[in-house]
Amino acid sequence: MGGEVTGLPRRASALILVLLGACASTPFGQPDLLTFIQDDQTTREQVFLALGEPSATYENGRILTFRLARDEGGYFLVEKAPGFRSVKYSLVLAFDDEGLLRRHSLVAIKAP
Amino acid sequence: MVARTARGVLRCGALLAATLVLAGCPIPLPAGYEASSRENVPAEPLDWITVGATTREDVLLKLGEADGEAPDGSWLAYGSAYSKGGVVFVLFAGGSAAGAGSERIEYRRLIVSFDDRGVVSAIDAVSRDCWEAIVGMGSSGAQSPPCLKVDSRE
Repeated sequence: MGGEVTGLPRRASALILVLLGACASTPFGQPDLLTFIQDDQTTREQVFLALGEPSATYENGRILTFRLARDEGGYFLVEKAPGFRSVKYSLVLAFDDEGLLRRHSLVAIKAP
Repeated sequence: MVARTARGVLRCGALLAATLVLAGCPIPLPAGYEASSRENVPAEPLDWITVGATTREDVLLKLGEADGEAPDGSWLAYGSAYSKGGVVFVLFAGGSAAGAGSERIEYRRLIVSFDDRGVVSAIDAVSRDCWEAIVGMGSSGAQSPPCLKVDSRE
């Protein structure tokens, strides 16, 4: 019959849609990953609980750094490896002696 | 005997290189930063660093995590590697490939030294341009070592 869609093309279309859907990537990034960071309010403990192990520490752990990248979803942590492959930002957190965040910056180490 | 063997190896190497250059497909290497390199090491002098006033904290907040650090924390190293382009001659044969070429790379390294109070005591900026050789066969390859180590004082 003219114009009638048989079962086979419909199934094939469904299969193609599923296969194409598998190609779509889910963003790693989280929009609120860094929103908790506030000078004079955030503690070292909160940082470790939210971001885990830092990529580097300085001055006996008073200054911490984390490696980050960003996608459509937001920022995400990048595992430590030699060099800065896949790393776009370095988050630097400087605490006072009581473990309270004093200053922080998100440094773009690669061109956007 | 050893000299004759060495001469033979050199002759074979030269022959292989000549074959690749004459018969291989030239593939240009585009300019750009190496994938593992940072891109925020400026070429111009860092006017925001003042010896005797700027602290380690200031430097880290401005440049981010360092590429290298002294075991005692007395200096931080920041470095970058920027390829200015090059060419590789690739020869395809029997389902495999071999290649040889060269690439010009500009290295920049900034060493910031600190005193016991964590205040900047010296800045040493070095920039070096060099050609690096690249050879490869099948899935393995090698590159000549960098002419400037960016993560240490060496």
